[in-house]
Amino acid sequence: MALYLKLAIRNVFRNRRRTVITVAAMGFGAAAIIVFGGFVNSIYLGVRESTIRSQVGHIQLYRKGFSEKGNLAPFDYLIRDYAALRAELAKLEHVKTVTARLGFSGLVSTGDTTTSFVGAGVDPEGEADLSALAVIIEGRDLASRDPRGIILGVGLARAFGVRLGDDLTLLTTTTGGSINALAVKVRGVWESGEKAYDDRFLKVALPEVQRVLDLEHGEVQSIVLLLDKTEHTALVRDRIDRLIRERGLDLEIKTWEDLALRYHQVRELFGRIFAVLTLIVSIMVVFGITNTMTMAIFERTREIGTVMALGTRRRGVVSMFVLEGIALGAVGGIVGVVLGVALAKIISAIGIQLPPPPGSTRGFVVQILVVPEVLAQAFRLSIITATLASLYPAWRAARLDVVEALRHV
Amino acid sequence: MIDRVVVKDVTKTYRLGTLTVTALAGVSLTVRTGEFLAVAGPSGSGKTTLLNLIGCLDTPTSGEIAIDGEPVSALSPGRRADLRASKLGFVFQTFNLIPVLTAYENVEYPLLIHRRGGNVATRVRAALEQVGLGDRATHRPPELSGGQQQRVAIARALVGEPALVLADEPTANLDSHTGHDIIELMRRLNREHGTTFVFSTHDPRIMQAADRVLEISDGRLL
Repeated sequence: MALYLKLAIRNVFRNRRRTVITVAAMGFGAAAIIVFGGFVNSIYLGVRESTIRSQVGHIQLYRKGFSEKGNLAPFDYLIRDYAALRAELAKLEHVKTVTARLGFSGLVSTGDTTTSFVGAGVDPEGEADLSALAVIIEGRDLASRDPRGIILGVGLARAFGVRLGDDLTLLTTTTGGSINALAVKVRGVWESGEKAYDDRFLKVALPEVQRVLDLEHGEVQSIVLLLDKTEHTALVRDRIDRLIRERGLDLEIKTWEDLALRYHQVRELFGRIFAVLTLIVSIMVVFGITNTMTMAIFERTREIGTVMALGTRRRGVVSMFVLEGIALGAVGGIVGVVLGVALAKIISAIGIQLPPPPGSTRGFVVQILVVPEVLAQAFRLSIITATLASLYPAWRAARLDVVEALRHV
Repeated sequence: MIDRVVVKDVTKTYRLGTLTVTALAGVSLTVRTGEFLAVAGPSGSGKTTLLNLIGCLDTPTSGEIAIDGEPVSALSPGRRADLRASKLGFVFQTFNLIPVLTAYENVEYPLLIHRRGGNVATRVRAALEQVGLGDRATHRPPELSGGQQQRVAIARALVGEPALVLADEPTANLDSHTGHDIIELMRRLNREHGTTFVFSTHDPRIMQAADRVLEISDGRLL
């Protein structure tokens, strides 16, 4: 085998021009995978982090049964002892922020016009950490010292034609089933980048919402945790799980992976596009290598005849050419990795601006992450396709008739 | 002493479309161990076909060939390859060295595909010394003259101490002086090691070196 490997490697560098062209084609293919893979991963990361930091947090806690039946009777599933829990959770390692939300909905009215809204009572301080991507474009964010000040999504504010400082009335149904109203003032307008959200959503300080809903024990609907790093999610979840079991708490736990629906949709979509690209590149590489190997075999027919005459068996000839394919694949893969990393760095450094993706209102700058797994995948793909592509030419070489091959000029 | 090669009533026909071409029409001969045998004849006479059959590169259409008493005509391609690796050495008209390997590595090749006793490096060095190219071990074929390449090829054929060396027109691509040297070299190795040689040629001067000359014409021995 060492003999065949030596022959394979030397033969790869024999017809330099052809090898350079083949390797360049493979290298570009692998680089395309690395660049696109890096781009896709930066989108995954971007969507993940924006979803976590602007909406769902890393971990959410609800009263047991909420995620199943909470939609129909949200007020039947409220967490009661929030203040105590909060103190407990805040002590856990890796936990950065603990905040709570209380969802409600109803009608919002200027006096002249009325429209429906979806709202959340939030802890102004904690929520600020969870609004990393929701930019206050007018006025200011919620503040505890201004309990009546609310902030509106930009779509809702525009449709309504409200200005900062305008008085609004929120009408909602209390937990007891009666209608209650809350007088508020527009303190700010924010934009999250997600249209559906911006068109309907408003945020109010938590105590005001608890009051208008007739909740007297500081109840909340969900507790949202933000961690120092997304990678610590599982660790903290397990710890909270243990806490829930040890204390017999009536809580259920969800992580961002359960809640970030869009993240999974994005992964699914780009995953498929990536698979198609990989397939196209593989096919190109297979054709390139097959062509190179077929030409090499034609040129070396007499050499093949010679080694067979010297007693090399057919499987030896197959090994020789498959190893050559693998060697070509390895060289192409290395070139591809180097090229791909270089391109990724260059493209990221240039900073190409892209238009907003579907469902979003903000464009973004292309970032290409250098992801070790993608590099490994591109390299592996080069080797695998090159190996597969050399099988048929190698088989043909091994089927050559010795006498005819020796006569070949 | 047992005959090294026995060829009995061997015919070889090829099909070219609807045409059947007879390359050998009933050839019988024996090659004695240690013999230096020339097969002479014009091109197209069938001498290459005969050497290919004796060299187990091809199988006869009919008839029987035995090497060291072992019938070889019905062996599978794999078994024939093993037989070539273990018992035969080849010298070609066009030298046929592997261009990406050095002289040393070319000579080493047969020892790597068929393991033999002893130290590989010692054997290769000795073989190169025998053909007078001990100082060219690291050269690749393109850096060697035709005569030097053919010497490397002879070293490669002999390094495994084969029972039989087949040389198809070994001097045809060399000038007459170099060709003469090559035949002298083969003759010397034949005498020193007792290696059996069968070579084809149409050069009358080279035939003179042979123990025996078999003339072949139109697929028949004369």
